[in-house]
Amino acid sequence: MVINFVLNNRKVQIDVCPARRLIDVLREDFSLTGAKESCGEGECGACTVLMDGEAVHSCMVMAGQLEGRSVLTVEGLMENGEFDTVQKAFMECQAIHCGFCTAGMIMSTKALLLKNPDPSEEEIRIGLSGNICRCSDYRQLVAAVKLAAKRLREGGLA
Amino acid sequence: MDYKYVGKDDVLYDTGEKAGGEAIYACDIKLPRMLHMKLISSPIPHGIVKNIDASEALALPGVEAVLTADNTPQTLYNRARVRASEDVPDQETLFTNHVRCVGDRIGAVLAETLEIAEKAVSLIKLEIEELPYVTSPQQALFSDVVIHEKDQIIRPEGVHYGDYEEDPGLELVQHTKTSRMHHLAMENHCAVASYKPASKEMEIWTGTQSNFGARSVVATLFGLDMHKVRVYKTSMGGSFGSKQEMILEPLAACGSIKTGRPVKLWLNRHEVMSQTICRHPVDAVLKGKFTPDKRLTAIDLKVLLDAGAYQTVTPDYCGSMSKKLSWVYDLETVEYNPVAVCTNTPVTGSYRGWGGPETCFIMETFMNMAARRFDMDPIELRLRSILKPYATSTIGNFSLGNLPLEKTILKGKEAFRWDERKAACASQDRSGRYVKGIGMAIATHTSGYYPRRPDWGTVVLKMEEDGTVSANLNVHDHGCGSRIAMKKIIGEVLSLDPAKIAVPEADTLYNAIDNGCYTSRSVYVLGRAVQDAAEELKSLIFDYAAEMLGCEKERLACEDECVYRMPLRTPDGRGVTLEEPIRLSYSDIAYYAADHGQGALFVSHTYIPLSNPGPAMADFAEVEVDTYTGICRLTDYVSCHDIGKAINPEICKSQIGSGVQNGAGMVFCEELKIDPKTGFYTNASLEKYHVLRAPELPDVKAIFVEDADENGPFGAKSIGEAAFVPVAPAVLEAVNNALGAEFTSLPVTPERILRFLNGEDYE
Ligand code: FES
Repeated sequence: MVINFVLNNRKVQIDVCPARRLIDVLREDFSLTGAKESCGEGECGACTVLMDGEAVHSCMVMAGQLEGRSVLTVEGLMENGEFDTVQKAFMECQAIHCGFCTAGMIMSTKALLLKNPDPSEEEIRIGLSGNICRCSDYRQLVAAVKLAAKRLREGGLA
Repeated sequence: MDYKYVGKDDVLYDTGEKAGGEAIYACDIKLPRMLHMKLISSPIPHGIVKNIDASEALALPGVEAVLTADNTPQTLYNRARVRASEDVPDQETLFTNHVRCVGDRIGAVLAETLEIAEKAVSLIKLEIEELPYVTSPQQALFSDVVIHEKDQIIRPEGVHYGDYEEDPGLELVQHTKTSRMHHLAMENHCAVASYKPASKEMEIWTGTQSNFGARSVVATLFGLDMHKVRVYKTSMGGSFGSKQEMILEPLAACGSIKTGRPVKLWLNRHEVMSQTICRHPVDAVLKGKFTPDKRLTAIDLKVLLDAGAYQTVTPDYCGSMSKKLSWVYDLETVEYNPVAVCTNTPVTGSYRGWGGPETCFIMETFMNMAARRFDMDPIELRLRSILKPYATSTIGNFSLGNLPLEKTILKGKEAFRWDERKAACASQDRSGRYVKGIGMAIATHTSGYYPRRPDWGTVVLKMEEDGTVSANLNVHDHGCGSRIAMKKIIGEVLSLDPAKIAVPEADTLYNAIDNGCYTSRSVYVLGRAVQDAAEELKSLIFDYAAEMLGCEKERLACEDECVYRMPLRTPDGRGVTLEEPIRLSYSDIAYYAADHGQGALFVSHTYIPLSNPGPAMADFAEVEVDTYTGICRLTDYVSCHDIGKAINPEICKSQIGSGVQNGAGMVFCEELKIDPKTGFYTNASLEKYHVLRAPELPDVKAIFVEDADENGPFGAKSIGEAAFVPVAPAVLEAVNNALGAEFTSLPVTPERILRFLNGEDYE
């Protein structure tokens, strides 16, 4: 099946089985390995990407659902060699350790902040509850989301 | 002491590649002609494979080969053997016809894609004769089921000093149980192997804790020359001990040798849970004796460890537990008798802390119970029995270093506001829905191998022409900043921005042989080696600078990536002469060294540690129990950690946070449950295996005691494993304190809490 969609702001076309998982399309067909697979059942969030601005588990989305949609992965965030606001906040708050959850966390954060630009601590923790980070108690992650939210509200690069 | 880079959080290195999704983990590697491997696993707990019909699988387009016990080496090995000279039990083969647990490896399919390999595995017809099986060590001890001809039950030597029976003290006894746990490193295990038949060269990419261990197992099993086996440590998505055994590397290597093509073996979460390792369930009976003034003087501990289908590290694990017995309390008598038993259940093995958390859980749950029996404050009870600074470990006879246990406890107590909270808990209204409780636990850990096994760190440092520095050492970063720590140490010595220092991951071709990232030794041993090597490099740089400036080396100093000739002192030694300081950049010196043909700015250094300080820890937990649902919530946590010097403070805090997540999870929910009818898990997926997530955790307050160790780099001691050690007993005590209960086995699930609240049997 031929599918047209937008991947990291570029139009792309693929010919794949509609049941192929988005994570495989990204990692295998486009060699975009930033999204990671860990649980394969939508529980851990490591494979989170944005689809039309909504966070989705790319292990749970099938290629057949992609037609006409816009997918954004962590590789699509940098602009002109510059990290975006969320990436920068994660780095500055030392919210990145082994890094395996990072791409998913960053994408979940982006989705959260698109919906709710000024989340409370509790809303942030609930917003990240679909993403597991085993390297921390989430303190630095929560701080990173807060910092990113603040900067975005002040007019930073989304 | 204040440093420029060490102990500072304001500079960021390395995380950009992770933020940008560029970091390459083993699972991201794709090589030309690469095949994918899928394991054929036993569906039953014990049996003999009589026949494997792979004809349909082999007929599937894209299938390259099917490996089984019949066409692969049948050499017995131990996945945990880091060097071929190590004496550990050999029970495992690459693939087996005698399957000993669900998930045991019968064979593997190699195919062009993972999907084809998976399909092919489903087409394989297995004929297996079922054998009787045992699913618990208690059962195994009294059964005639033969899992292994040799070493099915091992009774390691244990520890015996003093005479427990003779001690006249007041005796208390407690039975504790900890459960099987999954490490849940977010990255599933993966190894990529590429064997080139013409040159007989093997390359392996893996997120391992010991690439020399991986090389040793692979070279030994397949008779390869070690210099032709090159193992690269890739970025690693966490380990927590799960990647310190050589599980996948020999399998991928075997596939590559058999096909002459690169092979990738990447497990899914279910496979990692069932086919790698999990944490040992430990059943312990501890007897302890107290003097009339409530000093703990003697213990008698019997532990039973379920090794699962193969012994692997379990006997060693028993030994590791024993050492940790004498590092907290001043005990005159220790009688320790462990038993390691194989069962027909998935293999248990290395887990963060290597026996330390188990020993701590046993001892601290006992001390908390003793405090209740004696109607004493648990802190007061501990202060009477703890070791003093510079105490000697009776086991191994070495100094535990400055060991500020008392200081750590008191500092943590104050930060937690223990007395205030204790009073609040005691006077709370218990008729409401929620009750609160507090608990604490203390511990120590290792900072290296000394004196258990010879240890060293070998480092090569060189300065490039532009004044940047490259290091070569066998470092395995788990994602907890060990490479960043090395950069800061070098940067501090040379006054060089750590961003200008390269510390690549371990690579067997270039690194000197090393013991790997075990026993939390990286910073204490390798970090010190790096510090000494940087001092040597500085000295070499000063040699050239002295020559260039025509002055004595003693007049030189470095700052901000330059070498300065300091003004001469006046003859009375008080003031300085009016001479201006002269400055050379590192780059000037590096070019001078190269251009004048006097050799490279290059040093190699080996550091041999003769110390192993125990970092002291005191952890304090507050838990709220919902008496309607039985659900517990960790509402506050303070961890006071004697770290000597925190080189990356924020990352160290994160390690503590990670330890709390894992340790509190151990108390509340984390357990791989075995169904006694199948010998297999009932919850081998993240949908069913629960961990604490962002909304369920408080902000953990990590506090450091930074009394420098004499030998650690800038005074640092270990943290990685230590952070996990005291968590579970502190949290468990908070639950017991809230409810007035005495839970001693884990996990304390909501069902058990409701049973307790209903006055039913809850253990
Ligand atoms: S950084 Fe390791 S899992 Fe989050």
